[in-house]
Amino acid sequence: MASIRLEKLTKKFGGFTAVDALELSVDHGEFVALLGPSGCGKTTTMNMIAGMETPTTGEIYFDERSMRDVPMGRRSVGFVFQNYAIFTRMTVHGNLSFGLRARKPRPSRQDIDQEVKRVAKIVGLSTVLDRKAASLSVNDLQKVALGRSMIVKPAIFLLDEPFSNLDAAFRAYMRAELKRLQHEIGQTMIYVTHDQVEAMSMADRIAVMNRGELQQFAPPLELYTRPANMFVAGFVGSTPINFLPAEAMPPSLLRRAANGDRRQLGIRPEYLTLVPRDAPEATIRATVRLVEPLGAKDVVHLEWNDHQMRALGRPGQRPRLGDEVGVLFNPQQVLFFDDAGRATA
Amino acid sequence: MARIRLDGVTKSFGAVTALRDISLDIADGEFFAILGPPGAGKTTLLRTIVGLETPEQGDVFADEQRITDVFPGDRNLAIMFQNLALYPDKSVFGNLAFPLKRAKVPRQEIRRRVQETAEKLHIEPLLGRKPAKLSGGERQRVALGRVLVREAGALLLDEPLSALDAMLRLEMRVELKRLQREVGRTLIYVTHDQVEAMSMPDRVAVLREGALQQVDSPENIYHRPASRFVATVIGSPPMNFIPAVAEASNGHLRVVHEQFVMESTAPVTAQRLAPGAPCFVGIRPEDIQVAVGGDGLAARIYATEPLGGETVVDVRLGDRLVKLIASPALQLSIDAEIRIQFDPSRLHVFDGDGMTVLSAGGAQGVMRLESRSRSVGDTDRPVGQ
Amino acid sequence: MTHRLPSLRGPARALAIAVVAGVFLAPLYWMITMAFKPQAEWNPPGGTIWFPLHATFANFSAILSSSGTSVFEASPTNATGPIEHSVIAATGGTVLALLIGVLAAYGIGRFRAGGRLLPFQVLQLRMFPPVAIIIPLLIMMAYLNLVDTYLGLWLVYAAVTFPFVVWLMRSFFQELPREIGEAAIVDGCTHWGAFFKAILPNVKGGLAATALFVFILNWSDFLIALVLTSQNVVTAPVFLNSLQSAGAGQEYGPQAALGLILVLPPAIFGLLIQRYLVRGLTFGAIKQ
Repeated sequence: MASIRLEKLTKKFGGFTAVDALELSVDHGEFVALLGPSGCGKTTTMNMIAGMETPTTGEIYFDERSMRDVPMGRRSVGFVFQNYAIFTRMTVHGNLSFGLRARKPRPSRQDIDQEVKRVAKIVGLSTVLDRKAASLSVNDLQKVALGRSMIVKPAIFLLDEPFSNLDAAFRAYMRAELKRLQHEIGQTMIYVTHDQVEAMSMADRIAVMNRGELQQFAPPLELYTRPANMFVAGFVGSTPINFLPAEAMPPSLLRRAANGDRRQLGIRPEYLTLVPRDAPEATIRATVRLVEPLGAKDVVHLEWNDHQMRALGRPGQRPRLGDEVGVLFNPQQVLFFDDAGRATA
Repeated sequence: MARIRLDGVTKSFGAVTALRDISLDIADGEFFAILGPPGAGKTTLLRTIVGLETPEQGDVFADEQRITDVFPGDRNLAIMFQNLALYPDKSVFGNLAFPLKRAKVPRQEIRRRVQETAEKLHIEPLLGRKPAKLSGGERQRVALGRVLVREAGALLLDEPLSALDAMLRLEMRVELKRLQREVGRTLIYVTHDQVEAMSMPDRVAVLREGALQQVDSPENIYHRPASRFVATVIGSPPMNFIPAVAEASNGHLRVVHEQFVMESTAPVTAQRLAPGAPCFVGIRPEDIQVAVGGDGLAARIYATEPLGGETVVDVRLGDRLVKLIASPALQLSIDAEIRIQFDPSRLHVFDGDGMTVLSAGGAQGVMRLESRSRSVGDTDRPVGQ
Repeated sequence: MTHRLPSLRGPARALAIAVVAGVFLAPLYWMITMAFKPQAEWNPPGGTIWFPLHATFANFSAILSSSGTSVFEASPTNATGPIEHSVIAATGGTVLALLIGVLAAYGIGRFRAGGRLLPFQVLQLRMFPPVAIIIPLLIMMAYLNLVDTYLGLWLVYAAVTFPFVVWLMRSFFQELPREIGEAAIVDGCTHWGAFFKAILPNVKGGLAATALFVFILNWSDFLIALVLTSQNVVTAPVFLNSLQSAGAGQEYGPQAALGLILVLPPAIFGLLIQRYLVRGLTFGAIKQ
């Protein structure tokens, strides 16, 4: 496994800057996610790390060794893509061993077999080694793709939205498996995705990107509780965060002794509690616009002075449409942002 | 306003059967969703209702009139395609006016109705623009406008929100629900997104490989699924299924696992579950808790997925992986041994073929759960790896 | 790193380009300059003059009116008649080809009319070089009394360019999502209505490009017109050729002027539709 360091990494396509002076440091054995909406530069960054694209300016270091003149074939990176290009006519065994058989000198058949069995066990393909790849389910094909990259023991794993073709239930299963796998084999992994649930659930640290720029690079919980700006706050989190203009908020919510502008207040729906309309502890009073039952919880859409917001309700205490309710803000969980969208105290 | 009914509809494309014997009765003014994984036949179903596909067997009725052989334009149904299919050469006004012109609506009336619809959807300032100059969200609303302006008997929407980003999707969900209520028209809504299927419709039809699995309110689908498939298709993270074995017990349903025993408190006839038959216990991640005291089933943490507002914990229970939801404040490390508890009012039992035998569905006292490992202090059963 | 194919750089590259360009551009240059040269400069004893020293429009007026500067006044050098014939023949052939071809392309592209084989069969029509069948074609046309008539030319031109229309328009139709036609139908159109009101307006560009492309082919045609015309509808390229063997064979100036006139439409139209053509020709090749 290797550490990776990106230094002022920039990629321009003609007039368009896809990646802008990216600085990133990935430790040995770390699982890092590159997260962002489509077009943010995450795939371009990954392609540069792999060697498929050359940076316009900036450096890439593997274990502090510059990769500038090292071509893709020599960088010891393993790939898992979205469309995994499995050889359909070969057996699973053949697909897994492909990378080994291409080596010079070619390892002995026993050695190959041993490695294949080892990897198959890790990804859960031991029972289907002799089946033709064309007959496998989509889920198993994903495992073959994973195993095929693993077997050549690359220093770094690069995964580009590998689970986007799978159904939701299997994706949930694979998240746990991949996380566990990475923990067991201790490989440095870089995972590109636009799905924040995936990034949050698996990564040690997440690099959130937007329009080619790094927004924040931090562990999941830090992104969640201390987002660096409004973009990160809005992008991370299953139910979108509420943004309200700070000047409209009751002064009790605005803490003293803070530097920097406070233009926007951010609070996540789960830190709002619905209380009876006349309850004295309520921070504001709002009207219920809609209640969306989502099974495990309800999303309650509220309107307050022409501002829209969302809170979470519990199925047992479901307010009715048009009700006026009190909303209690958890003061510890309130975030502030200046007019440039950056987080302030 | 139309009541749409399907009777034994079967549709094949060559060797592939896309729809198998579908019978549905959608009430006038109902918000009806069709949910299923990609390839289940949802779009084919919609296209068959509107007449772009003709079934080999079965019939389609609108207000009890047989429309199976009626040309699509004469069925008084409006459809919004997944890729919107706005007329690129026409302005927004032209797009909305097109169906009305075909229906020979007088010019004044066309203008009035287009204006009204545009107001409802907040797209008046866009009336002069062509689709190419609109954002994704704006195009969505124009496409919606085109089906609304017709005042057709029923509106068919094919995954209308799938192309939008998360924030916009959330807003549009609220908008759509409000609109449907306001306009009061039958709405048939196809989706693969289970959040949409839970939050918006009056009833949901779950489709799998062309066959109906269950047709019920979202609540019932969630809390009383008819099969493992239905239980999996709604709810994220998905329901856990723990293999167990049925046992004889004088008319009560009794299910045994290495670490726990479940029994129904009322008599249950379950012919499918003969003594010794394999079965599955279903429980959703949000209905499993990390036990604070020493009581509960022994489990070992396999992985943790911190999502910010909550943490999904994957644990090994026996030789099965089970997901549960825990508070983010809880300190949990990989490979730690913990104890977990199931909410007995949320347990389900499925037979070996995946069909539901018994669903607690949120009702208290339907099932009783007893852990088989004794309390802390006694020798614990070893948790197999 | 992506591999780079070995390529010439610098002066060697410039030279290679100059040579290839030269081969293609030289005749064109000669013709353009000749069109403006006065008679004295056509073939002076001293050698070729590369640039007209006293540029004039005399050649154009010569070729376009009955009174010419020709020494051999017996032979007609008035090209206005043939040019007119060319316009009518090319336009008529284009219209006919479009009428049949566009509808066929829609059927094939959208409804898979004719199954999997029909598109190839249509294309095969073009693989057959017209020169191979030109004599039987002549005999057939003679039998039908269509030799030396506009109708005869239109029919043959349409038949010969029809595969191009299908090939190009098919990919333009396929580019349109099929739901646009379906939306029109659900909105109350008949199939024909959907075609004219929803589909056609959205392939205007492709249609124009195809029309111009076919027009260029018909306009430039020499072989078919040579065989199928004799007096009444002689087209301009055939006429130009006839000037070679007639007494006016030495009249380089006027011939070059006519050549320039004839080259203008294809050049202008071609530039206009260049982008569309590449799109239409290659689009079907890539699986969406």
